[in-house]
Amino acid sequence: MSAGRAAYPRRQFLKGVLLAPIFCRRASARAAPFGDGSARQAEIRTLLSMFADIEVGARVGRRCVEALPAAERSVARLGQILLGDLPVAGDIEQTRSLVGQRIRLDFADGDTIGVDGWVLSATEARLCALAALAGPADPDLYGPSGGGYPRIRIE
Amino acid sequence: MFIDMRSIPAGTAIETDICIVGAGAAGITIARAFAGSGVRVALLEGGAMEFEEESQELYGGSSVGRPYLDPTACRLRYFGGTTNHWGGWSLPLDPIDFEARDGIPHGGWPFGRSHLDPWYDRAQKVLQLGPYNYDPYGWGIRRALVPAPFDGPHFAVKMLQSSPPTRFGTVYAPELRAADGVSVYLHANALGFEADEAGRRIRALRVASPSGGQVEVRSRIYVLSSGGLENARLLLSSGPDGSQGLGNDNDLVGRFFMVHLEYSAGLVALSNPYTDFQFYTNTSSNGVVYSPFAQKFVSFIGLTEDTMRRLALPNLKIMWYFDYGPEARAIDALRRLRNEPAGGSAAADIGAIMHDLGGVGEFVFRKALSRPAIPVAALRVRFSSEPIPNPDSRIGLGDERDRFGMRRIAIDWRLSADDRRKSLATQRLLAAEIGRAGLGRMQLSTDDETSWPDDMYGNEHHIGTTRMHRDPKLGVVDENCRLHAVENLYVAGSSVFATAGAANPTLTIVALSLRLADHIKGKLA
Repeated sequence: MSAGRAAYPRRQFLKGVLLAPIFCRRASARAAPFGDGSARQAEIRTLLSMFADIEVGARVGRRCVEALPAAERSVARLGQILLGDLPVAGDIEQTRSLVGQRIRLDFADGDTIGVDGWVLSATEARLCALAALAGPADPDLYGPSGGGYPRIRIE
Repeated sequence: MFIDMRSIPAGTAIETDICIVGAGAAGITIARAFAGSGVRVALLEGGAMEFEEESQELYGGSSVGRPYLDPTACRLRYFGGTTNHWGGWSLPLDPIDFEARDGIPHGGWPFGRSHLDPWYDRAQKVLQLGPYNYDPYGWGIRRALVPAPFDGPHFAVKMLQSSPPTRFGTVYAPELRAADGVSVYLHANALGFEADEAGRRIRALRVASPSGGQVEVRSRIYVLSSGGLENARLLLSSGPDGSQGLGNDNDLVGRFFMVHLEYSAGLVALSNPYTDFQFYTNTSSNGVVYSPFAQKFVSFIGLTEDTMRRLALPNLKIMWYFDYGPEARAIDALRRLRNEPAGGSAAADIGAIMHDLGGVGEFVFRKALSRPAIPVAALRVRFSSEPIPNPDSRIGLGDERDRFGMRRIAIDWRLSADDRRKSLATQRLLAAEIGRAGLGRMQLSTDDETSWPDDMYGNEHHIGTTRMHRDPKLGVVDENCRLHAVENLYVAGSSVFATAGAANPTLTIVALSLRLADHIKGKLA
């Protein structure tokens, strides 16, 4: 869903500026950003650890999945999209802060998704969808406490 | 002097200089302008000094388009007219409302807002308002306290003033009773204008008393000020049966019927339930008086002119109710922070997501600790939107007749697909701005551009049915509110508005009436 506004090149530029330094660090730290399954799994784990209650994220996320284009409805694709935009470092608070900024930029760009009428930023909707699709049953992602969701391997 | 038409013998001819048809805000304002001037004024009121069912019933009609309000319930037919039940909210139209602009077809007035400003200024006193100042920051609102999404670039704080409200019938009756040269006729039911053979000049107005006896009012100048529905009805009813009516050579009388659109726009789950809403002084919705001026003005949110122009969006007023109720528990989710799962309601879940992903939770918690206040769970947002002028939306005459033999109105209220598309675009823009600013997240009342929210209705502001335009092919009256086709008939009231804007219409009705009175004085001089 979009607010029907014209694109804002300046904001796109700002997104790039905002994320560029960390992209640079990531690029240098990884020889193959999407070719290493265990590295990506760790990054996704970091993203999902921002949810205080993963079940809430997944509950919202199940509706988000329906709102996303079919091509995005997989952990692999969502991971690729989110990790393509978001810097994921070991510092969860830094990641949280950058995710918050990214969400605000989404809204500024009209890059939003309607979920049961709620207007969410595309980033937060994708993160929730990721929570829903990955599933808290996977101890590799969520630790041993989750339950009820199918285990999904991250390719 | 007040005269009951029932006391006047049938067949009488009343001679006057100005005959004003309708004693509401417009008619009374114009009559007052001539009090003691040496000009004779006959002010005709169809009803009495108080409400009478028998008179009110004459307002009955049918709805043949989109369902609309009962026409006997959305206006009043006695001395003072609809000011007998208006709420008092007053504000001028915005400058942009007068402009012809892209994306809003059929817009554009013959003059701009600055032309009307002197009469707006005078109208303030008529409506017992404060100074002609509608800058909210000039009334004590502090810009620093306005949350980010409402201080540009798309949305801004705006304000209206609150009239006591002025009941014209009560407030101005003593003055008119004592005024030299002004005769107020009660129970004077206008039936139709009689034009000369060329149709260029009105020679008489036929008037009936409740008993059915008819008289004629012969006047140099006539002013039709019976409200947005009746103005069209009387013009369409003038002339022989089967004719198209008076001043209707271009089939414009009754068209462009507009009312403001009222509906729920959505629910905002606040990221910070302790957000400072001091700037929002709508005391009628939350009962909290934030400002010493709160009883005299009401703030609301509107689109900035730049955004309206750039995105071709109609004007609107945005207001909300503060929700402390159990059904919107986003605050609970925020309070629980990380320790407890949210309760399962959508608002609570969204609140939790905002906290987790949007980075607002710690701020909220600090704010809650340092600034005790009434926490607000959510805002229930309402829009009052400007309709897009639409020639297919019209007041016509139905087949049913009233007891005087006049055909009753048939209201064919219509909206275009663009009305809803643009309304939804504004809802989405507001939601995005609320998210961008971190104020919260908004759930749209409906996210479907083909259907309106269930509670949408057209309100009681009847606008546009004798619209103003310099070109007779595009308007019923000219820039002086005179019928293009008739030399001595003027129209007053919101029926002459070319666009509705978002403003409650009474202040503009009074301003235009004062302007018309000045024009007529010039003509009579």
